[in-house]
Formats: sequence, structure tokens, C-alpha cells
Amino acid sequence: MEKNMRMTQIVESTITDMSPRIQLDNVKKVYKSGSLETIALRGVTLSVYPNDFLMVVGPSGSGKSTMLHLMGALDKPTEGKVFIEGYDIGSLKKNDLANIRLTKVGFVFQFFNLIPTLTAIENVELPMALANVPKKLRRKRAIELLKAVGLGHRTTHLPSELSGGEQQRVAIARALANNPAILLLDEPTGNVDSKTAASIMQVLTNLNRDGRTIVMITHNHELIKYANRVAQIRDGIIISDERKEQEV
Amino acid sequence: MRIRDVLWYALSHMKKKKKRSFLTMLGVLIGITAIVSITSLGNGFQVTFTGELENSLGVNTLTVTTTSFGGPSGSRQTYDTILYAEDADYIRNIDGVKAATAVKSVTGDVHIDNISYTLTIQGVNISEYAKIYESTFKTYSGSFEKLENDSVVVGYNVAFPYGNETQAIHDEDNLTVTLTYRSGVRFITRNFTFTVVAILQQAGGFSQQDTALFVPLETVLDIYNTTEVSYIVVSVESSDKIDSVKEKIKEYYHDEIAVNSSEALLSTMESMFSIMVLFVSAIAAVALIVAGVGIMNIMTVSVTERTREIGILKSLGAKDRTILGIFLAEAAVIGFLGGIAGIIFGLITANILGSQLFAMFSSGFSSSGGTRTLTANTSLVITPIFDPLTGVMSLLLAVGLSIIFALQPAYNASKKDPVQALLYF
Repeated sequence: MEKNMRMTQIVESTITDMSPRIQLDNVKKVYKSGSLETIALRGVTLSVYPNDFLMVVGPSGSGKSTMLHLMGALDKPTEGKVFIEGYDIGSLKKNDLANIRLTKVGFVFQFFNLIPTLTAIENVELPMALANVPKKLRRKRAIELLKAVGLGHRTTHLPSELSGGEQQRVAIARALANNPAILLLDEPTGNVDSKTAASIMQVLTNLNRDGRTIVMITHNHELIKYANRVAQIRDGIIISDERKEQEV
Repeated sequence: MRIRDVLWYALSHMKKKKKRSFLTMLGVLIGITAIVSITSLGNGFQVTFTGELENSLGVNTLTVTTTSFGGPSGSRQTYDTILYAEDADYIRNIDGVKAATAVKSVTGDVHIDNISYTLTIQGVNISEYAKIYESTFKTYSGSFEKLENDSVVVGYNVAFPYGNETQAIHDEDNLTVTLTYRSGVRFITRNFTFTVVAILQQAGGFSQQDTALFVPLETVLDIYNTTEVSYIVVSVESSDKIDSVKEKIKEYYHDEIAVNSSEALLSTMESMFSIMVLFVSAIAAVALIVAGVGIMNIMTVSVTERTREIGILKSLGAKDRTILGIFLAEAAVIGFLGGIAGIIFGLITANILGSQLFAMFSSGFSSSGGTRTLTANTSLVITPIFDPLTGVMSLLLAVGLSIIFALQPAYNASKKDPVQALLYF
């Protein structure tokens, strides 16, 4: 995949722990619907580092989700630049963007977004199938991932047969399938009870401790304690960005 | 994504949406069933029909008559020439002619077990006639050897009029035939008694002999006090001599005659059948196009319904061509399964139709006056002929059409914006 990709800019020639995995540089995003223009981001500059467990908080319509979509190469900025592991998202072609989503980032959504016609294990295998991982290997890894999120016994169930918490854990396992360095979560605990939310947060904390960069959007201020960095966004602008030291 | 995985994904969706997939498939199934059953039945019909025609017309036979066989495109032509019984003697001596007989065909009533039947009575030179139709004009019992003026050869269904083993007429029976003829301006109805010398084997198919009586030509000519005949049938030694014999006969009649060959009739029949098969295939093709539109319709609905799923797939890193592939694979699978099922159902339909529907082609003759109908129990069974190439072609057609009609909705699916698609509810 690297060969096919146009490497327009690499932030640093060698990516060390200190180089940001995601970098937003004065990013503006405007949605046009007919003659109506909606400004979602008004100039966001933000660097997300490998060890970050970044919690993004803000009211509805503040631009949180838009920012997450840009961080996950689902969308391109209207102005400014977005870099994901050094790749300039704005200058990439559709296929290259798809490759970034396939290998560099993992998405988890509020409404789980599992494929309803696939079983838990098939859902986890899906990103690996997209990445042409051989069948045997992906089945093995899917079982490992489901075990890791505590669902080793529910592998052949359809999403409709799983509880909200279980579905979300399948979604996390799926996001990790191709071993991405970045995990992007859009209110992952928004549709589960507080106990399940706590267990999900524990899984995420462990993943972050293992070196995965996590960016998570939430409305729930109680969850802030799990993060090591909190950014507040309002009207498309980051109004605060605090790093907490040595949170256990 | 590998093709195998694309298929896996498409199939997993279809499995969960069995009813919808089946209904979509149904259109293809019906179209292919129509094509396969019609073509295999058409082929079988053609083979059976030509076989039966050859049987009843004889091989390398010519019919000298005053009315030309027009065929589907040509027009019939009628000549004023009168055919005489002696003409057959001339024709018999033409080089290349194996046998020839004049035929005087009349209608008479026959009483069998106190039931009156109206039958065709053919005045022919029986030994010559047997040479011309050597494959069908064979004795079931008796022989053609000791022929007298009052001899009669009886068709199988006349001897067995009940359609079972019960034989109503036996050799050496006396058979009373009521004939009506004109003497001057008067109509005279008289009974004539004939002696049965032979009963014919069942010819079946289109042959008229099963429900006819054959008597010596001279006898019929005497009764009707004429030397005019209905037509002359000629058997030619080999097919390459047909044209020369035809020419010589035409010369004899100064070109004022029609010489119809069984081959010409057969080839006309064959071309008519191929036109029929082509025509009905065109209707089946329309059915398939309708099925294609059905696929397009379902796919369009499906793409809209699955907008969110498309968004999820894109967020997971699926490329546009993968999405395109998934929807096309679904269409291809629908086309393939519909095609396979259509071929199977087509063959079943063809076999049922072949054995049941075409029973109506059974030969027989209708009642007239108060007389009873004598129906031949020989129904024509069409054995469908399935050409494997037709199978392969219809399968390709089913898959190809399904893919073509799914192209537009699948393309739309692949081009959906991932963010918009994810927000779709």
C-alpha cells in the first residue's frame, strides 16, 4: 500500500514516538447543501501523539464528529491540512484514503455499526478480508480479538442476538482487526449502561497503555477520568486542550 | 478484497434476505424456463414432426396433383389439367421411378358392430402403394397377394375401433360400404360388399392410413364410372433423381401440373418451426429483460436501504470497486442461481408439455351426420431435445443480463460519500 501512495509530505523523516500520529493544521470544514453553507470547523489546529488518550468534549453540532471523520480519512478538509501518520489527506486519491482507513485507523461508532447480516466473528474478519488477509489467519485473529474483549463465547451470534455492550465490544474488536495505530471512537458508550461503559473504557485504557493512540468523542463527563488529554470544542473551534499527567 | 471474499459477503447478505433474493431470482427463473423449455421443445418437436411427416409422406415421394403446395411464403396454384388413371402407367416407366399409383379418394360410410363410421376410401394400386409407403403400409394380418376386385385392406384403427384389444374386423370378413355417387343428375346411394384381405399395422403420427380403407383403384373408378383420379403418388429410387423425375412429369403434362415433393414440404415445415422457435424465443427474451428491470428495481431499493452499510464498509477501508463488486456479485449470483433453476424447470416443463399438451396432435377423424367419431389412440409424444450449448448460453444470458441491469445501482452504491452514508438512517 505504501508504494501506491503519494507521500506528499512526511512530518518528520523518521517517525519517532514524539512525532504526532494525527496532525490538524488550521483545518476548516464547510458543508454545502444547495445554497446553504454550514461551517463545521473554523480553523482547528491539533496534534495527536502516539501515547494520547484524547477525549473530545463539546455540545452537539460543535464539530466533534466532523473532526473525527477528518482524523479517520473519511473526509477531506475544505481548508488547512490533515496528516495521518504523515500522509496529507487532502491530496490523496479515494483509493489511498480507503487504504488509510483500512490500515492506519479503526473506527468505533455510537450505534455500533456492525453489519447486521454477518456474525460477530465475520464482522471482525471483514476488515481483514478487505485487506486480503488469508482466511485461516483472519479467523484466528478474529477469535483472539473477540476473546480479548471478553466475547470468546459469542462468536457465531448475529448482532441482533447481542446486547448493546456486546455489540460495542465486537465493534472494538473489528476496529482493531488490521492492527491500526489509531483508534477513533464516536461516543462508544452512548448506547450502553454505565457498568458496560466502564468495562469498555477499561478495554480502551488497556489498548492505550499498549501504545495505541485513542481519540474519543463523548458527552459523558464522567468518562474524562480515563483520558490523559481532554480537548473542548465549541462552534468549530478548540477552546481548551489540557493534558493530565500520570493518570492511573 | 478478493473475489472469493466479495462473493462470500454477497452470499451472506442474500442468505439473510432469502425471500427477497428468491423473488428477484424468480424473474430470471421464469425467463430462462421459457427459453429452455421452448427451445428444447421446439427442437424435439421439429425432430418428431419431421420424423412423423417422413413416415406418413414416405421417403423420396412425389405427389402429382392439380394444386401446388404453396408453403408459408408462396401462393397456391391450381391447374385445370385432369389426371387420369393411365397417367400412372406412363410415370411408372420414367427412369428413376420405383413405384407409382393413381389415387382416387372418396368418402363412404362403414357399419361396424351396428355403428356407422364415415371413412376415407382410397382407390389405389395396392401393390404399388405398398412399395411407395414401405415403412408404414405393412400387414398386421393377411396379405396383399390375392387381390380381387372386391378386396379391401383395412386400416388398424378401423379394425380396432375401440382403442383397445377388441378386434371388430377380421381377415375374410365381409365389409359393407355405403357410397353415394352421381349417375347423370341423380345421386345414388348404394351398398357395396368387400372382402377383407389384410389389416394394416398401426402407422401412428400424421399418417391417414390408420383410419382409412384401401380398395383396388379400378373398383372405385367402375363405381364412379370415371377414369379421373384425385392425385398420383410416385416413389423415386433415390433423392438425387427427384429433380429429373419431377422435370419429366412436368414435361408430360406440358407444365400444367404441380409436382410436390415430400422434401419440399419437410424443408418448409422445418423453416416454419425455426421461425416459430425464434419468435417464441423473442418473447422469452422480453421476459428476461423484464426480469432484468426487476433486478435493477430491487438493487436500487437495496442500495438505498443499505446506504449505512455502504458507509460502514467504506469506514472500514472498502474501496469503491469493492462496493461495486459486492453488488454486482449479488446480481451475478441471482442470475446464476435463477439460470440454473430455470434450466431445470425448463426441462421439466418441456417434458410435461411434450407428453401432455401435444396429445392434441393425435390423428383421428371427425364424425359426420349421425356417425361416430373414430379417434386414433396414437398420440404424438414430443421428446424435448436439450442442447447443452443452449444451457450454457442461457446461463450466460441470465448472469450477463443480471450484471448489466445491476451496473447502474451498483455504481451509485460505490460512489456514495462515506460520511453521508454513515449518517443515513
